[in-house]
Amino acid sequence: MDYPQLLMEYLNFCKYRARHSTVGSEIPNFKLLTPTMALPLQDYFVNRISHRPELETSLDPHVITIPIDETKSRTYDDFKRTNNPENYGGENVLSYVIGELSDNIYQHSKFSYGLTLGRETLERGYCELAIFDDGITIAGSLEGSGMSFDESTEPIVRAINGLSSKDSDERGQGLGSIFRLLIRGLSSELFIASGSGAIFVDPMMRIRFSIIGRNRLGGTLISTRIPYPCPKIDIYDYL
Amino acid sequence: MKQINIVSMISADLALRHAADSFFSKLELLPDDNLVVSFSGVRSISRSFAHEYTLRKKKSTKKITESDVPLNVKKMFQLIINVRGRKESLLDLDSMPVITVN
Repeated sequence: MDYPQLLMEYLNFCKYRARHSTVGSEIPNFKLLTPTMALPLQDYFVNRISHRPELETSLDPHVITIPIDETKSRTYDDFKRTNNPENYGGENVLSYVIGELSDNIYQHSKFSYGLTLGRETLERGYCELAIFDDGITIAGSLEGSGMSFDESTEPIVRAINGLSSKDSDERGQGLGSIFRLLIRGLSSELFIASGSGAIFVDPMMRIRFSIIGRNRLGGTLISTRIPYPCPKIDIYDYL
Repeated sequence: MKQINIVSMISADLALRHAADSFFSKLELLPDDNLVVSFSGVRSISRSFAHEYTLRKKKSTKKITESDVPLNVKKMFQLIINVRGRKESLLDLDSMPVITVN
């Protein structure tokens, strides 16, 4: 079978990382990369191998750093400076998606480096948005609350179904609501890679991927491709 | 009765639980017992923010009411009440094939 494009973009990052770590290679032109490849690659260059924060602004100024200090977080405002919300389903959709996903990072990931990026590739019929953190992964967060799992994709699926590391029945709604909004509301594609597990979902297909060895991700990457033009929806029909 | 504008204290986009938490911590320090939180100018609100706001309001020692609440914000607070604890099984683990990519 052909792999979904979002998975292929992630695997391109993995291939690049493997090649660079063994034989070295030039830093690619980030402005040509999709968010799904660019964000983990920026983490690799800036955060993991070189610790060169000055690279951050030179790779692609459109990449938004999510500040560790929550009081300084203006992620949605920053995102809007370089992206038109109408191309992502409108203000309500985009602010909800970025708000919930960035709050998840603060609540669960114990991250030290977080990034988000959107690309409006309207000529290709979609906009792609990704958000990345280098934290303890979805599995790590749930296991930290005493849960255990049989295999690596189970924590991602169960988090979408409402499992939370927080000890409350009312928590754990965030990822599920994002799923309903993106898949049911906007007919988007959704790819989540976290640790050694990944899933891909679109309105037709649901697949789990075990990403082991050189394909493992130290953190969590959530990517979506929203079709363009996308339908106008009332988010409250899907939350 | 003291009126507080939430936009000027946080943002027009209310997203993070932490922001709701620290907002209420500031309210608790005010000498007034009756407070009106104006939502005038709020553009968006996340479920997480609305949930944390609701929790903190319930625990607050103050009598807090809201004014100028936009329709989308009203809907989110209503959603928090309506779907409290209700979760939907969106993905069936066993029916999803697993492919190993190495």
